[in-house]
Amino acid sequence: MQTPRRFLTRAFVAGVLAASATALEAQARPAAVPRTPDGRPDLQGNWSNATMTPLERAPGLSRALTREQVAAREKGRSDLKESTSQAIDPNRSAPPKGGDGSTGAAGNVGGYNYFFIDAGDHIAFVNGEFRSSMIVDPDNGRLPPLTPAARAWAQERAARRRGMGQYDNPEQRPLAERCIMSFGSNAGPPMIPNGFYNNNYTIVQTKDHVMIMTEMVHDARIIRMGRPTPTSPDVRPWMGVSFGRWQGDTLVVETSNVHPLQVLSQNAFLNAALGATDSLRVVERFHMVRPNVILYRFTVNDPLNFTAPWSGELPMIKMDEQIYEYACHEGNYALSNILSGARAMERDTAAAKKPNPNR
Amino acid sequence: MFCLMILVFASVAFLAQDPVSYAKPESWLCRPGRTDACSIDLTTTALSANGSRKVETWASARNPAVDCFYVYPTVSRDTASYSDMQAGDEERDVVRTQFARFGSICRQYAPLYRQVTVPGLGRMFASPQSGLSMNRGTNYDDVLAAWNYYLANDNKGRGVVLISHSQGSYILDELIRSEIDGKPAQSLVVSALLIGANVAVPKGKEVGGSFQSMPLCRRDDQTGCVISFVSFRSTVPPSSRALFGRVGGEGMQAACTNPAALGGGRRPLRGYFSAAPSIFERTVLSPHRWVRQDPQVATPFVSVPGLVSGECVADSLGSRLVLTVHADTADPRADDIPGDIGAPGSATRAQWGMHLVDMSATLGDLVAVVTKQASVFKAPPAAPARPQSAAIPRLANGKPDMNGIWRAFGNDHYDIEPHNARGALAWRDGPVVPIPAAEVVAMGAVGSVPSGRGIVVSGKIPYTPAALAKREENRRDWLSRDPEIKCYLPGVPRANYMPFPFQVFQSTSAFFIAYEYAGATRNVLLKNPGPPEVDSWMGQSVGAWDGDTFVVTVNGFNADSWFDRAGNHHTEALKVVERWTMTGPDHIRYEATMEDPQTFTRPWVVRITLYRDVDPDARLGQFKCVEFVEELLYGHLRKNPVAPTTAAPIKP
Repeated sequence: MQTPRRFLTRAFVAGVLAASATALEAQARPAAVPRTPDGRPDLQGNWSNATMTPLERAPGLSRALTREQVAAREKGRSDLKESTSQAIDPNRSAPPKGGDGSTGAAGNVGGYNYFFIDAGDHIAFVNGEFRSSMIVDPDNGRLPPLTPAARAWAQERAARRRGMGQYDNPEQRPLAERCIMSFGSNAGPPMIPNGFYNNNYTIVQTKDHVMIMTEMVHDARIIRMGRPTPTSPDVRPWMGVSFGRWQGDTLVVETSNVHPLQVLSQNAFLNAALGATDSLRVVERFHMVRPNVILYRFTVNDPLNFTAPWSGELPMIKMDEQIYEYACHEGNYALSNILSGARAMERDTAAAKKPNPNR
Repeated sequence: MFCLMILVFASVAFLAQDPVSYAKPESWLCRPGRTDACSIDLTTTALSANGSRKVETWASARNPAVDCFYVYPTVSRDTASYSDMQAGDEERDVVRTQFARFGSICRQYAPLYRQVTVPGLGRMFASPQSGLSMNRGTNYDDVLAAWNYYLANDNKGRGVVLISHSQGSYILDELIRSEIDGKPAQSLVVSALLIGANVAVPKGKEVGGSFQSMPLCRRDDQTGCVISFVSFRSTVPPSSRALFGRVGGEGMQAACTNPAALGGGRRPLRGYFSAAPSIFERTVLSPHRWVRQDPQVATPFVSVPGLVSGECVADSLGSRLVLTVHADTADPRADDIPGDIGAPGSATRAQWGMHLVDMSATLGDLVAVVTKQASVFKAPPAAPARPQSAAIPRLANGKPDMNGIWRAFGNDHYDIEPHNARGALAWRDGPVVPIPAAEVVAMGAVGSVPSGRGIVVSGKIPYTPAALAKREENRRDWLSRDPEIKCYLPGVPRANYMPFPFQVFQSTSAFFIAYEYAGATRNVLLKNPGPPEVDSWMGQSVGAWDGDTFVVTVNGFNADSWFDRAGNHHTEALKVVERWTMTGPDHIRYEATMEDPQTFTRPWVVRITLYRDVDPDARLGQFKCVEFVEELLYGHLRKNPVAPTTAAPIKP
């Protein structure tokens, strides 16, 4: 995993999601939102979509979590942050060989602990409910089954992958590790928090464009307003080609031509990824429900990959902090180290196999 | 002769080569309301052919309606190539012989500026590599700063006459093109007297060469126009190597407007020559004898009615004001005037002509024309000092609307200094001359470097010796050092003139730039958050409007970005001030001033034009090049590195 050069934005407007009573009231009536000179809701500024709510629902949960479930989860996160914020014993011994056995983003050799991570402190609160998943359609809160063709592709990729070691080539490493895109589908579409850190966006709105910059890898999505003009199927930018329109006070963005490696989960070229097919269409809806909350809804339709369209929703919360430059590639020592580490290991293994000439 | 002329002036080294502050009174040779180089005795003795003498007094205007802004010619004898900011006798002398007399018409402004000196001019002619230029360098930068100071603090909507000679005219020619011609400031110009320099005009036309909207003056009641000429003796026409009277460009010729006969024809000239020794007219050591008998003239100036006539002539030798001397050896008056450069019969004379008296020989006529022009000039409506151009799109808040996709033309991204085309960016020794490095040979012509006029306004970047050495090292080691090769973020201003477009997203509350190259972005903050908290590749940008110009201060850089592919570099101390000015709906004039005392001896400027992509379906492409450099950066770390292939020999 590469170390981000910039790790300054840990912004989250605390308490906004937790203030459920106020939020419920606010959503019951049309809210006064800031507007641009041409009368549209003014979505401009810096926003975060970090949340504890995952994309897919864990088995056994219903769509809405109870207050007790929410409290337990948020306390768990808060305790984790608290515990990893403690000073470390300077006299502690070295980590055990082979790692400390922990799981998750930190890996098992003691990478980042949660002090360095900002994956959201709160459960997403949407339309009066604390949500157990972003996905609301299908009803079970989970991705629809893959098509037989998609399953076949996944098997093909898995077979190729089995033929080589996972550190053999840079192209086998995940996009984020290569500093090409953020983790998962952070820049979108759909724009899904990366479960890690820096889930921040800058929106600038002009009369004929909406620009959404994702902090991670400084990716600017350029959404042109108005009637779509044709794009050759051979042109497939990483975040696709987007056109937007206003439906009342809702900004509706439709996207096609997404790069085939832009994926919905942390993936690499040969992984069993949900890479965009050329049938992918994403519709996103941005609706400002309060001056500091945008309700973000999306529908993914990729009939070559999925047996049904699927939709999700989550809030974006305004933040009043700066976003700094995420220059990832320029300081990407990690990828070199991962590859050269693997080569060193191979040399060690080969040396161990050779008979010792001194014996 | 020339050497004898050199007077010894203490050459005070200009220590801190910062921009000149024209708020300081000592930065001006002349300003109204004080005693200075313009406050001198201009009494003249008119010498008739018959020997009679008449003394003419002179008085400055009491309540002049217009201003004069004067840029003097090459006079400084400082030993360095650029002069210091200490006014010497030579600067005061040229004001006396060329400009003081306009005080009868206008309030006088004459900035001191760091000009190319007389020794510098010699170096400029001796070597095209000198980097010295008549209109790109501290000379231009200083005059521009003075002009902007004058506009902001003194002008107040008054008409202004621009007056200059030689180097001053080349500077004002550039300044008019950049700042005045076709722009709001043009409405302030009573007329422009650009004497002793080549101003281009299409043959048979009055406008469309050097300037697009300021024509030549053809009547004395015409304003907003240009008077320009170079003078040669009738007996010494310009040679094929003449410096004046000819211009490049298909169908172009040098402008010639005779101030004594704007409509054409030959007329007697009303000159005012120095009777006292003059440095500029080169009569310091051998005063000109204006009359044969004593006493010599006692007044500081002399006029010689009827002695010299002038006529604009355009032929295969060039277009010039031909000065004919009507001497009568029988009368008691002198039979000739000074003003040549070069000894009698020398080739120099046919190159330079009567350069030293271009203005003295015509001064009375110039003053008369300007007097008439000033009397009929109508100052523009007082209201906005910078009238809004209707052609520029604007946002709801009235600010120029720069939304759109822009890019620079040209090949300056290879090398921002002026450069010839060359075969490659990376070289090795060859048997005869250096040859392209092995790594780039296979690219052939695609790997070569197109030529560029350069976008550094002063021509060369003013490096410290150590920084210049580092630049040369960077060039030698270009393949491993240029951050662009590794797809690193480009920095500022390099991002703006790379061969990729960028898109501006501008609202009343935001100004954001997305670059196609490497997906670089800049959020130009409209509220200053204070000093940057961290260094970054693209720096921290803070923008504010100065009238219709968007001024962006960028700092907080790391030391790793470059200015081009030619190794030009900086440190973390770099501060860039960008000025974005729409000159029309589809053009932005972009200027960036670089300041980094650890690398440069003084601030320097790049200036480019940005062009809009006017296609109705214009879109910013995506050039996320990180994956394109993985083989370069990580190929050797593969489990099974792919062997570098040798290019097969290409058969013709």
